[in-house]
Amino acid sequence: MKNRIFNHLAWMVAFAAIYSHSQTCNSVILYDGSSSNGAKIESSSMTFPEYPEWTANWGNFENMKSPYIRFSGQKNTNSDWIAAISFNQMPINVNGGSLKMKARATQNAEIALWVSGNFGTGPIYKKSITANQTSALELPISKHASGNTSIEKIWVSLLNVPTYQYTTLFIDDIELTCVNQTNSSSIVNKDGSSTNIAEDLSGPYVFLENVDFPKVKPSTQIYDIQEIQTFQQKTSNSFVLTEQQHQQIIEFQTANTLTPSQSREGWYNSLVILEHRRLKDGIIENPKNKFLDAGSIAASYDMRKIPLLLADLDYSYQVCADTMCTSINLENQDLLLAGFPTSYVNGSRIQVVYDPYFVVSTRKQFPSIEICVDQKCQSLKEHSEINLEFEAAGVQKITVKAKSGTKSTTQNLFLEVK
Amino acid sequence: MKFLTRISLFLLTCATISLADIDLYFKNSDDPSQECVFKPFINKCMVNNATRGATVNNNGEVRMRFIDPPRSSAAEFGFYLDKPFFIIDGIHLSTTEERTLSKFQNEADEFGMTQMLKALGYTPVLVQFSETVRQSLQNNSRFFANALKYLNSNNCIPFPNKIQDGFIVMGISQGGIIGRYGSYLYSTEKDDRDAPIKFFASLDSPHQGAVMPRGLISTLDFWANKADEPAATAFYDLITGPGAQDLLIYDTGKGNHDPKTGSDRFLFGDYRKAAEYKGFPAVLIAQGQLKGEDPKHNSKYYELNREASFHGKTVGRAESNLSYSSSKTEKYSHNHKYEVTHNAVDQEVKGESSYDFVQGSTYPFAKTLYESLRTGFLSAIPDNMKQKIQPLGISLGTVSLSTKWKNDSLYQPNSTFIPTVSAMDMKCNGNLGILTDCAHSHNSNFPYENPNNESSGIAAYAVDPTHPRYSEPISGRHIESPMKQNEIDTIVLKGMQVDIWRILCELAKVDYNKSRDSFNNPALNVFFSPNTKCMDISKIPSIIKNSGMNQVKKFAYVRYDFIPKATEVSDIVRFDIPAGWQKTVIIDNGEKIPAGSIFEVDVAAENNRSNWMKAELLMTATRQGAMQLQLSEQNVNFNGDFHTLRWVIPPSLGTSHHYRWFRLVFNSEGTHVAVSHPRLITSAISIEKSPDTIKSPLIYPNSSYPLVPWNNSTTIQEKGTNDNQTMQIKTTSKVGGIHINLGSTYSLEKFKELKVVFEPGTCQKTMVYFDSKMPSEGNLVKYTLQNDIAYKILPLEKIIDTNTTPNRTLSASRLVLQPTDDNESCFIRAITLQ
Repeated sequence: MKNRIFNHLAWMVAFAAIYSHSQTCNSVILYDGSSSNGAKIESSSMTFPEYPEWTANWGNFENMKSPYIRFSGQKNTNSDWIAAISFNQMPINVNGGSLKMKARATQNAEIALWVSGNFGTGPIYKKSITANQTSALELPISKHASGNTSIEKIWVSLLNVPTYQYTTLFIDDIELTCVNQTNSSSIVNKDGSSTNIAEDLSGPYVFLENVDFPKVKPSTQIYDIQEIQTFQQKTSNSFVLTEQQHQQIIEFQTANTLTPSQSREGWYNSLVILEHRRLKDGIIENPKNKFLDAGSIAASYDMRKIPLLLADLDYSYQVCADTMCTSINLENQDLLLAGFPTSYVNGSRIQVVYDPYFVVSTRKQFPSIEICVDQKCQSLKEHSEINLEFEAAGVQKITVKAKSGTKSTTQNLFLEVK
Repeated sequence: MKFLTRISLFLLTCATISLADIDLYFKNSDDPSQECVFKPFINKCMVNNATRGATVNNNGEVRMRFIDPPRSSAAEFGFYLDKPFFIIDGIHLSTTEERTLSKFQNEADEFGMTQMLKALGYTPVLVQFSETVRQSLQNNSRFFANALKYLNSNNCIPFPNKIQDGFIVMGISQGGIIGRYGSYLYSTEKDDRDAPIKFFASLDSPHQGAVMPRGLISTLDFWANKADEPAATAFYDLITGPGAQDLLIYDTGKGNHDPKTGSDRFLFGDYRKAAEYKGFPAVLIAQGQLKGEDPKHNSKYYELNREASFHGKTVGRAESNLSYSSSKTEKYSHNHKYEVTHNAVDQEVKGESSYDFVQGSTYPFAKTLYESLRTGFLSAIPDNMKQKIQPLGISLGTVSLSTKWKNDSLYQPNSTFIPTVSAMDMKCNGNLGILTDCAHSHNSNFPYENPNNESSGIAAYAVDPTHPRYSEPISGRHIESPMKQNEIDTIVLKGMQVDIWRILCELAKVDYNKSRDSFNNPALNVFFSPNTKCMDISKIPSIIKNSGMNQVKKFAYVRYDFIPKATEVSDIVRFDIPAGWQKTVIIDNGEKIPAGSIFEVDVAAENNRSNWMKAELLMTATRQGAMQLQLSEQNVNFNGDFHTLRWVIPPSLGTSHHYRWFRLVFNSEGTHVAVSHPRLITSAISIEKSPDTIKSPLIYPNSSYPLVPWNNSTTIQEKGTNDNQTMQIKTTSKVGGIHINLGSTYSLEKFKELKVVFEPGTCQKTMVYFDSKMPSEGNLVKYTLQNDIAYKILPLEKIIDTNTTPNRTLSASRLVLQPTDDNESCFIRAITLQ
């Protein structure tokens, strides 16, 4: 487990470095067993007797936790067994450093490693490994690589394997120590607990900037000019609601139970009410588009990675000054409201994303967020994602604790796990 | 050694059983060098152009799911294209959450679509657009055309037989419009070396426009724009989005919502070029009836009127009335809102709304609006409504208001959605049918299979007197789900089966190669004949008649005691279990387990110490195991191969039980086990009766069962007599093959295996299976040699696809012998059930 945490810390370090536009050496894990990591083998060059298992689980070994890659088999001739493998991130640009991995075999063996890419084929690194012991391998890349070197394949070979000797080779934790990445648009923080996440959730969320979703028009403004002027004399807030509309929003915000549909619609309904009752244009981005965009993103992730919708703004609402409501006063309200763009998720392990794109706010700071499921709470920072695990199917409660300035709220949202 | 062999077998089996669907998203660009294709969750462009390696957000304009495509480890995405059959999703005309590929697949599989197409030799490709409302029809068509261009030629997904296979495109609802226009764009821009559009079909697509009640449009306009009701705002944005607005006959823009059918509208302008294009055959299916008259209906849709008052004085009111109008002077909607702090707003609209009930498939628009507004009215004027009294900022508390419904009635939930003439693209005297009285009055007398100039399709079908849904008083719902509260609505299912049969029957005609006297797609030889009348529903093959009979539910929560990391998304989970009785898997059904449903799981077991293992299924009310019910113990086959374990949930449980969780338990002396695809068959019915038992176990030689060669690339010679008889099959092309016709569908339940006896060295590139199975294990390699004669035993469960047989029984109507390569010789001595 420590090893996995270390791996993910390495990820975080790597991506933090990317985020800060750093040109320094970044370590990237190509394979850690949390998924197959897009592992592929070049069949034309493979001489291992059988195809590998990419996420094999034959128990945990010393210094090697399952899953790992497993090659196995036997041949009727004494020969070298060779495989060229690649992973999701490849081809990948490196700036020296080294290729590291762990290996163990069921027999004493000599293992060889080399890489190939735009520079041709690099030198071969060999090491003798003892049966049933995990060995650390390190192939220096700086010896043959410099500048913008792109690695396309990693070659693994067991040398001189005896005739009819059934041999299994396990490899894991494949890492390049000096990757040259400067793309600032790929900002990702990988959370340490993602080893618990399902295989196809392991890819990083790409935060939205300059996206070009088609748009719907803003909602119609309800008030006429005279009403607006009257309200503006009484309040500096940009939205004025009826008391009943205010009650609808507060009921959603403070509800202990909601159907998943009500939970989904609450954020939209609240923000649309506000937008209809605006006193001037351009105060907030059209919340309807944010809601629809979040729905599109969640659907593109098959409802397994869900953006969190947030609103952080002030409004006023009308209160009758007498029983016949012949005159009104305005009350002020801070609103800090969370929502999900879906009423259901596919599966019991999901990810929730805090993408600032989905915050509708009149403030300069983003709210801080904590998300709780079954009384286990996790902090969710902007530009990050967390894993949530539910203990059953069906309707599940998610508590969102939000804080902005001096205001804090605790809100219950509901999703159906199906 | 034996153990090692078994392990190898085990791994081989794992590799073949793992069904893998591959999702790829296409990110469009006007500049092909900037197009991007990526796997969702990976977000990295994999096209060999300027974008390669670039990181993208997950939102590609076109989402594609390739259903279990043939594999190629040499290909970038690990598969190649083989007879791709695109199914394009329809518009998401709802305020519920966006559609996903998984939801689309679930709905397609309610009709058994993907399994059926796989069995017919196609690779189903589900296509979905990320924006079906906010994006225009033209833009999505362009995205689709560009995606086809990419698939036609790229370095990542080989398409080896692209000229012969071509693209088959079937669009559902709006998907038919986008698919047809996109196919037209692709087809007119491609050259002769590119894959053709081989066939196009639409399923209830509005080629001449769709209808929503005219009053619904004005009602949404009122509540969204004058009365700030959020639910109405969401609906209004839907119907005014370009993807929907362009489809609707009534104009949803500002104004009086008159029908708008001028050539300045896409459907009645540019789109007609695609509709009249003859570069690919189009088959158009309508789900509306063709009876020669409009359906009978109530003149009012609904009435809603709710008010709040204080001491008899009204302080709030919300009112909505929706109706049908047959003349310009009649009212079709009236809406009113009053709140004490704001001026009342009111709108009454008059005009003719005769398209509301033109012949066509229907949708419960009025019911949806009624329920939505009713919820909104209740939210705005709740039962326990209170109002603060607060003069000069000093709170005097709250007063309770009296609230009540003055009117709350739904009279007519359904109305027309897709006019029949629109879905058939019917023309009357050269004019579009929707613009003439034909739309209301055309009866079922129509040349469906050969409409000539009466439709733009080579064939156009509707719900005619031979269709199972003709006798319903009003047409069924547009693309209606057959599942109703976990039960199959057999009328809906039969209706869809007829629609699908007509499409596939027409496709078979197009696929037929006269010069070879055979279908280009060899799998069609088993089920179709080029001379079959597609109106003749008695010719529907079992594979279609049994589609959708088994509704399979995947579980949302699965955990493995020995592998905590594994979940419901894990394909195959392998683990070692110690000796004794071991709980291994816990599953939450999420709701009460339906009595009579079937729990299935695939299990492979391997052990070098013993050869026994038992499995038990427990049902419990809670995760902790309360109210445990143990179902019968089963033996687990121990050959390292996957076998399906099956338990029927006792029908006698009825509906009053509390069981919701499953516990899978194994008992052994210590085993390595693999568990895959736990699932619940929630409804396993058959329209066909259970077949009779086959009369003779001897399939060949047997003069009762004729031998049928598929085309002239196949020859059959029979030599010798009685015990020495040999059938010599020679094929020069892998599109050849034969089947042995059993005459009817027979039950093979009393048998377990098929023994094929043949001459050694022959038949090594021949697959053997019944009906529609596309087996990985029906080959005759690794045979046994006895007295210079070769034989191989094939387990029936491996060569019969019980997903397409009556009652999931081992039954079949034909035995197929099909080569996997050109120039095959197969000399058969005997084929026997045993």
